Amino acid sequence: MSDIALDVLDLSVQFPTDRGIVQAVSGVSFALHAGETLGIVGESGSGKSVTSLATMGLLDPRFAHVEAAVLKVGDHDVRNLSERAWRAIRGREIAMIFQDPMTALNPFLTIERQMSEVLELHENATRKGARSRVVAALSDVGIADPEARAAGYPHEMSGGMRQRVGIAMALLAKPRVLIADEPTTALDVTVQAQILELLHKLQAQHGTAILLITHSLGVVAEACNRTSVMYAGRIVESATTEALFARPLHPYTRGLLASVPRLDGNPYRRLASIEGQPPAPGVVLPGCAFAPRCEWRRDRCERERPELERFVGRSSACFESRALSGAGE
Amino acid sequence: MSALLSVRALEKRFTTRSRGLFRRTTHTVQAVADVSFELERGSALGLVGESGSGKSTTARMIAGLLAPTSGSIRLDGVELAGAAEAVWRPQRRRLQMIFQDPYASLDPRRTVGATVIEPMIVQRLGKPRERRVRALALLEAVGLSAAHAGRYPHEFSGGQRQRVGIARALALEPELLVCDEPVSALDVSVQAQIINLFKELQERFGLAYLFIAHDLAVVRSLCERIAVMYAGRIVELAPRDSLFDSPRHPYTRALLSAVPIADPVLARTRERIVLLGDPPSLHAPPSGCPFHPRCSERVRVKGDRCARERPELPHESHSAACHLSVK
Repeated sequence: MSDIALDVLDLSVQFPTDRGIVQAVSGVSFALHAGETLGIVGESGSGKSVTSLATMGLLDPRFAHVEAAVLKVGDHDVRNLSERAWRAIRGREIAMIFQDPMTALNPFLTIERQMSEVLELHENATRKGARSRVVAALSDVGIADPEARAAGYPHEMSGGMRQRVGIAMALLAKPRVLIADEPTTALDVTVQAQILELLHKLQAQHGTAILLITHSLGVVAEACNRTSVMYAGRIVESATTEALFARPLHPYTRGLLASVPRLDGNPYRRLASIEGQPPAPGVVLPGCAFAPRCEWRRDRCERERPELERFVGRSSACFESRALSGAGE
Repeated sequence: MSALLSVRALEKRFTTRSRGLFRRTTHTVQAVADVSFELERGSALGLVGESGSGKSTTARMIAGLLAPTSGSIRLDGVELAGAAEAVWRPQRRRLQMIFQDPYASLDPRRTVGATVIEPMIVQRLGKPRERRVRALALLEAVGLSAAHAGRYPHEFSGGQRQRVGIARALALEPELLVCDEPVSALDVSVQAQIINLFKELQERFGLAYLFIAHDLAVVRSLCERIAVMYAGRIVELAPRDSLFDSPRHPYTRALLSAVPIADPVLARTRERIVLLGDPPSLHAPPSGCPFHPRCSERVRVKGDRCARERPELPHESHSAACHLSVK
């Protein structure tokens, strides 16, 4: 397909540390199409944020070793790009919003000044031309009185409003891909609902491909067409969001889904939980990384790591998945 | 007299002064206004609301970490609001607090065993040997083992640290635990472990909880009664099932509809009320009902009553401070 906006094949990221090499991401592959939202869900340390930083070229090569068989944003091969070359890609082809929008905003510059920088850099826009585009962009993300806000500073805004500015700024140069790393985690639920709705609306308008990184299964269910689940640096399951929630094939996905308290669950029942915790960074197990916490564990799981196996429209990295998937029946 | 905790007309105002070149300006923030509720022995009350709703300020006043501006906090009939240290000290045993961030509330230079023993020393509880035995029993009660007693906080994961915090809170055999967002910093799979632990401990020790959280699903899994706060006030107070099945306050309805559901089919078919605008400024709260500028049902009230007159929270088993729910 030619509408692949972000193509990642066999991505791995290592951080050499004093105590040895920490393998943060291993063998991660996915293809993100124009107009779709792919969710990457995982817990702390699962490698989801490192994956997003690697695809944005934001990992410092002095501290992180990034390797991939394919890493393409649209038609651009972005492996081993120089910082100079990245500057022409970032913002224009691929942009990012963060959990804390203050990370992306400069507290010393007015909103207009920092937003127009994007247009001056990528489109040689003049200061005046940029102003009207900035005001229009702020109005698009639902900011009331955009002229006055453009002249203001980030600290004068609420968290939800700053995230709207972050989104407006990320989408200014109409990038093909938007990476949203926990975009609503710091926000209240009612504001979260507003922001998710806004992302959906803008995606429909511009056909932006969105990679949504989150720890929240609720956010994934609300916002993503397809979902990949990460555990200990690897994707352990990928499927359409409906299929993943209706019939999870990987025991980690099943455990995760069962442990979320739900508004329509039975409050008198104990929540299912996954005992134990994920392996510490730097610890590499010979077999499946989830085996120590898995109730389906067999001897084989501790010796041999199950590869991500493809089934119809989905994939899972567990020896039990083939039987569960109905394949070969 | 029967309630373990009885809170009446609790208020907290913060005053900030900023000195300009020529004049001094004073701002008053009404963080908590007219909060009243009761908590029975062995039961759990959830306090939910968004940032700035006053839920944490309420918890901190009840735990004695912040002095109320006015109002009454009675623990088993003993007035704690504005009480002297001599009154507080024996009551502290009965009421303990658990915080969101177990990293920040544990001393990094103290072993976990010493951490759990410390409150017993402060309160002169038992002999040294008895304290050690009790500390080990508590570590086991919260799902750690005696072998953990000699280790330091940095050797533990977030979930384990929260267990240590709970063991320390239980050291004094409290009757009430005030928990401020105790599971929000934890990963989903670990969060479920800690919620289950809270349930077990409640049954085992007959604990009462005042449970502050922004996650409604978490509160629902633990609390029999729930108070929803908005702009410093309780806007709805109801038993769990009636709150979730038939919420009466328009804000509660919006809040419930905004909670993401971990079910893609339901998530796409349900009706969602997306609130307009931002939460109210606490410097200059709206006139009348604090929710009226964002309320979509205001049109159903005659005249402009919502903008003029603040609806009171009635004393019923399911009460909502809304002109529409008062018959």
